[in-house]
Amino acid sequence: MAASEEYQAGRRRFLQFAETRWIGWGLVVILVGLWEFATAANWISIPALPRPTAIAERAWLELTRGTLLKESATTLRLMFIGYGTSAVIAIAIGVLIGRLRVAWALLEPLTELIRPIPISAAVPILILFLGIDDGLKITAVFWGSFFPIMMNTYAGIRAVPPTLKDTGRTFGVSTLKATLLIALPYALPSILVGMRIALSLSLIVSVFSEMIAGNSGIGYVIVQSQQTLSVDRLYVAIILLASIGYLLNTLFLRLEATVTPWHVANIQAADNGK
Amino acid sequence: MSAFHPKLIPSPERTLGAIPVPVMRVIAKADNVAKRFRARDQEVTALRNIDLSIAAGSFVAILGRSGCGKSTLLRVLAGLLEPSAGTVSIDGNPIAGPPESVRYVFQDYGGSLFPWRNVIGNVRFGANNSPQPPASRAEVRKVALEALDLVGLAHVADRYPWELSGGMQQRVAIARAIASKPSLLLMDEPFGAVDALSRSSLQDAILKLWRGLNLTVLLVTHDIEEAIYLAERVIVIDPVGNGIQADIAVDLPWPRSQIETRELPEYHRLRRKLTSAVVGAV
Repeated sequence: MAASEEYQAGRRRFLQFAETRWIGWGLVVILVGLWEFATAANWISIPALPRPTAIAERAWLELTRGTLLKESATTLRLMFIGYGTSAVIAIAIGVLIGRLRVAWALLEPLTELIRPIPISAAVPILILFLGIDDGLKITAVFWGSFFPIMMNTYAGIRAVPPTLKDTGRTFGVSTLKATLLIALPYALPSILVGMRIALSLSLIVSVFSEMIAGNSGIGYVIVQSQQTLSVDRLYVAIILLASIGYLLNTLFLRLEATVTPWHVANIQAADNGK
Repeated sequence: MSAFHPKLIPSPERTLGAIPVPVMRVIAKADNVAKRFRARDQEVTALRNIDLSIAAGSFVAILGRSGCGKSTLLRVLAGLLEPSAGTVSIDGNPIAGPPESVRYVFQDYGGSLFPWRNVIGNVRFGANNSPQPPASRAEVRKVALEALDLVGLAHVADRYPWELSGGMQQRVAIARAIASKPSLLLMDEPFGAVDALSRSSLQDAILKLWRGLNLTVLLVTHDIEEAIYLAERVIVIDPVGNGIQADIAVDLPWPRSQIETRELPEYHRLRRKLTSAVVGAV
C-alpha cells in the first residue's frame, strides 16, 4: 500500500519534471557529451569537427585575450543602429497605412514588390551604392527589419475591434487621439512580435553582410577563421553568435512582459484554460 | 392608462406668475427613423417607423425579442449608426455623429475597456474626454476617483481590468462613462453578460447613479423583469422592427427593492402585460 503510494508520488514527480524544459537541457548536455566522447575516442576524426573541450579552451583564450568580444560589440552596434531606425520608421508607416486608407492604397503595391526580395540578394547591389563600410551594414539591417515590423504594425492596427473603435467615437475623441490612445496601444503586442522577428533577422543580416563585405565584426571573424583553417575559433564565433541570439530573444521576451502585461496575462489565461 | 409617463422637470423660464409650471424637456427624439443594411446585395430592413421622445431625467427601458432591432435603435440614437431615413435629435439638435453629451455602455465590457490602462486610467479617459474636461491632471484624477467611488470600486483603482470579475469590469465601464458627465446614458444589455447575483447589485447601482446624478438612462434589454424593475417607462419594439408596439408606464414606488418591489401585485400585472406584449406578439 505504502509502496504503491510512493510509486504514485514518484510517478507524478517524474511527469512534472518531464514537462519542464529541464529535460530539453538534459538532451543538450547528452549530445555534447556524445560529441566529446566520440571525438576523444577517435571514432570521429576529421579536422572540421574539433573536440568540445578544445573549443571551450579556445573560447576561454578568445574571451580573455582575444578580440572576439570587441568584434561582437562592433556587430551589435551597427545592428542596433539599423534596427532602431528601422523600428521607428516601420511603426510610423505601419500605423499610417493601417489608419489611412489612401496611404495604404498608395504604398501597398510598392511594399508587395519590394518585400519578397531576399535581403541577401540585395546586398551586392547595396555594395555598389554604399561601398563596404558601416553604411552598408546599417542599411542592410534596416531593410531586413523593416517589413516584419511594418506588416505586424499594420496587422495590429487593422485588428482593433469594433467595440473599441466605437468606445473612442462615443467619447468624441479625434482621429489623432484615437490613433495614439486606442489603436497604437491595442496594436502594441503585435508590433512587439514584429520587432522580435526583426531582431533575430537583424543579427543574421548583419553577420551576413560582414561576411561578404568589410573587415570587422563577427561575420568577418568567421570568414577569416575559415580561410586560415582556425576551426576552433570558427566554432567559438558561432557559439558566441548563438548565445547572443538567445540572450537578445530572452531580453526581448522580458521586455514584452513588462510593457504589455495584459497580453501576457491573456496568453497565460488561455494556457490555464486548456 | 397613460402611454406616456415623463418625469416632470420644473423649468424656471416657463412660469405662470410665481407658480412654476412643470414642463417636460425632451432630451432625445427619433422622427420616423429607419435603418436598412446591405447584406450580400440584399437590403435588409432592421428598423422602420420609429417615433420616440425621451424626457430628460427619465429612466426608459427598450424591450424586444432578439433581432427586433433594439440595439440598432440604440446605436442610431448614439450617433454610431447613421439612420437610413428620419432624424435623431439630442437636446433639440439633429445629430450627425456621436453627440458630446451622450455616453454609451456596451454589453461587451471586456472589449470596451482598455486593457493597457489600469482601472483609474480607464476612468481618467472618461474624465478627459468630456464636454467640459477638468483643467488639471489633479482635477481629472479627482473626478475619476469620485466616479469610481460612486460605483463602489475606489479600492481597486490601481488594478487592471483583466484582474477583475465581469460585474466589476462593467462597473468600471459605467464609471468611465459617468466621469465624462453625460446627460444621457445609453446602455446596451449592460448586464446581459454578468452572473445573476452581480446583475442585481449592478441594477441597484445604476438606479442609485440615475437618481444621484440627474441622468437620463435609456437601457436596452431582453429581460422583462429587469425592464420593469429599473424603468419608469418600458417601450416594446415590434418583433421585426416595424415601429413601437407598446409604450407602458411603470408606476412602481421608489426606492425599488430587489425583494419587495418584485412582490408587488402591480409588478406582476406589468410582467403579465409585457410578457404577452413581447412573447404573444408572434
